Amino acid sequence: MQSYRRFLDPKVIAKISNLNLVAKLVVEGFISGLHKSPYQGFSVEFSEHKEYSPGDDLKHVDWKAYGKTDKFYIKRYEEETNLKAYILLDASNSMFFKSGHVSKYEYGCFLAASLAYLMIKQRDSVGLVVFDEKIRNYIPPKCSRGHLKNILQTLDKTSSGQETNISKTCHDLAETIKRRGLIILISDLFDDAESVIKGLKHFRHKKHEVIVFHILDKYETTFPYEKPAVFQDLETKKTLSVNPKLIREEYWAEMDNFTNRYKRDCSEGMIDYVKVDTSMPLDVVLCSYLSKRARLG
Amino acid sequence: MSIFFLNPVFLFGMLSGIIPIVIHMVSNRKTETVQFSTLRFLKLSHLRTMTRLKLRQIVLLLLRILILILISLAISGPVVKFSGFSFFGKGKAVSAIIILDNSYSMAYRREDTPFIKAKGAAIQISKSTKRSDEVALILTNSTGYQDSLGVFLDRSKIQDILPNISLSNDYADIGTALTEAIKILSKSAGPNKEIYLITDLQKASWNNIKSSINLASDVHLYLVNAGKENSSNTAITDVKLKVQRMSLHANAEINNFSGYATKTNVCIYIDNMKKQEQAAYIDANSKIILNFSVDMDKPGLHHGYISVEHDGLNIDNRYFFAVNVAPVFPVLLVNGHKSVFAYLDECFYLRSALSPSKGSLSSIKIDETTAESFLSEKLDKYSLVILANVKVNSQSIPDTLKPYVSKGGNLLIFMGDNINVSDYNRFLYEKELLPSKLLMPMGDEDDHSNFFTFAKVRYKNEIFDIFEGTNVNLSRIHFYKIYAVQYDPAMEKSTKVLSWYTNGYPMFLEKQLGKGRIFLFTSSPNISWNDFPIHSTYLPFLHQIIYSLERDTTQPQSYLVNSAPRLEISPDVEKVSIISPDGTLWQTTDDTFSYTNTKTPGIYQINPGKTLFAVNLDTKESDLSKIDKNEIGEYIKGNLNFISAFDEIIPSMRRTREGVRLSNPLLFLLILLLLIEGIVANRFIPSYAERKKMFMSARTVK
Repeated sequence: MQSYRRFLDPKVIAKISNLNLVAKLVVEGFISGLHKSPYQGFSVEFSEHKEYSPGDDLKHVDWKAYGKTDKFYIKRYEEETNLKAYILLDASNSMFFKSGHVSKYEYGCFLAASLAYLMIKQRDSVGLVVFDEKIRNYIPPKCSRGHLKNILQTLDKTSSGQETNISKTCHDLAETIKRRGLIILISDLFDDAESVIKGLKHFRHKKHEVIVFHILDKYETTFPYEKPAVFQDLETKKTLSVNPKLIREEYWAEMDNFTNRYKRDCSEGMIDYVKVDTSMPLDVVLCSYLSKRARLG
Repeated sequence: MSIFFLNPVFLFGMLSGIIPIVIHMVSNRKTETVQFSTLRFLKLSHLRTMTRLKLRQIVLLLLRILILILISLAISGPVVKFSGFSFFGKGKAVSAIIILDNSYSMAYRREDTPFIKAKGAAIQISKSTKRSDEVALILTNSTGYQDSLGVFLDRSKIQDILPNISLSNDYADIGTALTEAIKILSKSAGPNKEIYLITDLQKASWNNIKSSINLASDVHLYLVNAGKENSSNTAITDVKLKVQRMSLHANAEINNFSGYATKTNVCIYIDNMKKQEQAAYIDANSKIILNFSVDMDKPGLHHGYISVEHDGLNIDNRYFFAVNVAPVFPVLLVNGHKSVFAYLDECFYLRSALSPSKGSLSSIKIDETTAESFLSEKLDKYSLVILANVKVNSQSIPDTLKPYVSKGGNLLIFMGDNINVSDYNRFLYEKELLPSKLLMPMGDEDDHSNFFTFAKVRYKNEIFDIFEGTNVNLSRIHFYKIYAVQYDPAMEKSTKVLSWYTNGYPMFLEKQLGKGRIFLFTSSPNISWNDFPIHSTYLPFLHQIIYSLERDTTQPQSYLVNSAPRLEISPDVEKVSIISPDGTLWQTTDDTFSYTNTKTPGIYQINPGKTLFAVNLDTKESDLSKIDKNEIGEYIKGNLNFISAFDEIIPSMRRTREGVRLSNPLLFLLILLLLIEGIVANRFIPSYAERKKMFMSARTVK
């Protein structure tokens, strides 16, 4: 059991090149840590009987009930795969920043893979949208083993892109996705906060449930640099000469304002906001998803 | 003010001030490029912080530059000199003149005398000079070593002389000494010129400075205060002597130069015998006059002194004097009307009044003669000839009297029945032997109901001055008959009227003729014309006339210390010797000479003849009040250094010669700057970990 837990540590899973294996290890490790087996809920569960009417599929006739009542009843079950989930993964250049072993993008990939694996295991449909300033890859949601493979391959092949434009991606998708579903945004959200929130609210407007995994590197939150240095923006390539010691406190304040604003606006827009540090174990993140999934029924 | 450096090589270290700038530039160049996810927060933080921090960085940069410069400055040993000596003058020869106040006030004793300390300080100063320096010594009062004073000498020679310098008995003249020092220094080519004036700052020493003394810019005057604070002194500052026959009257002026009242016993000594003693209570900073009257045992020369009790300054506690008590005063009475009846005799009352004690005790020797025979008398042996109602009817009388009076004899003329107006005017008035021309007799001697009396008296005259302020009523004296005399105020130069009758005519007149004097009393000497002889004022009146004539008795003189009295000796004497109070013998063969050896107060004896004279202090120095710095500043313009303690002399001298070392203040400033730099650099900010912790906890609370 313990051997599975260690695969929840990003440092460890970063060493595993096969995303499929990563997803499997993470999810199995995570699941095995829970007290109640998640598979119980996944079985086909009886809901109610309905009197047969012509046109109904005969395979759903409850023959036992016919034997007892001499009437035809059709069994009705809980829908199993009615959730369509869209994982929106930010692949802009800023996501490729890393201070330790794992970049924000890699962490996002682990998270996306794990979520996809978990969802497909739950017989939910899951789709993937990889974007930077525009949508780079779009995999519509499906629920099959082959589909998971497809998602993992896409994640694996994606390289660093351009600058971020989250709101545009959100608006485009919101208009595209017709059926209500679950939108999972994995991003560092380094974009205009107001437009990002507008984009997310657009999803809400379309009755989608939204979870935002705000991924940040530890260095981005603590800014622990000591020596004066020229900092280069990974997206714009612009530079700025800065003495970190002198501006550190102001930086902390700015970063705090930035995350607090997302937290506040997401809360106001009924959007789940999870701030994720790339050093955080993945089970913490998965827990956030499962609680959301449980609320969805 | 000038500045120089003891180790100027280290000044190159000031170039290290550019190190912070270089470090700043180099460190900027070496900054590495760091890839970062986004600059949006950095830009905002940078903008907000840099405006505030740039100022701090500039301050820090300046502080660090200043610190490095200060380190170099402190090591290079900067020295500041506020005036005088130039940068190039440092270490070069010094021309120093030591003015030593050896006036008698320097003998004031409480523990050591200021003079002993002053000499020690002078030796200390001379020792501080180098072999190449010039040193000269000036005394405010010369007491020897004339050849060695006021000239530059080897310092060892100065050190040999100084211990043997003695105190003077005179007052100091600081102005003259300073002027001489400036004059000597003006001839010196040395770059560093110093005058050390070691004095007790006694006020009177400076009074001779009439206009400000200007010191050249390269001359430094060190004023070393050798005096003691709150000095107290009592001194006999003056004595007025009056010898009346066998009595000596002395009025002693005693000054208390202290800030508090004092009591002292004042004694008069005659011929080394204490004659009288009085207690004197003198208020602070005031004086009193004590009167002594001593009856002398015998005529002739006497010496003595008046003294007060010992105090801090003893030299001014004695005032010396010498007096000449005249021998017996010879009087010739010329009786114009002898009578067996005493009251009718012209000279009865005169004789009785002039010699009341009779015998050898009387200081007046009276000879009597008649009008007819007085011309045969040797008048020269009499100091006074009294003509009492004497007929004058021949030319021989004025021929005899005029030379007598001209040579110094004195004549007193009384009126009477024997007086012929025309004869008197002819033989006496016209021969200048009568103070005024006789006019006519007035009044009736038998009519006692009508009389004249004293109307106006010259009390300021020495004859009548004893009556002034007494209860003696001269108007009770009645004159029944008198002689009116012609008097013109224009005659005042040669003839003085000393008293007047009530009718406005002169009563008693005096005239100077040659060396002698002539008195005219315009009434009779007996009671035939007036009742004056039977009044108590008659005797003193006559004796006052005698005293006034004795005034001319040669009295020994009194001189001030270091004066040069001109003395005349009889041509008959071949060699004169003078013995000073300390026993020094001085001799000369000149008839007239100036005696300059009056250095010691006391009694000097001239031989042959054993005449005496006294020498006393000029008591200007007895007032020990000190001059203050402001007053000195008025007297002396230039570089003045006041030194209040002897052990400050050398440091003060070095400060001026070498200046004030700034290393210590600079090091202090350096430490201060380092402290400020530390504060500005760190702003008391906690370590990074602590700050992060604080920040995070603040967020949790939020």
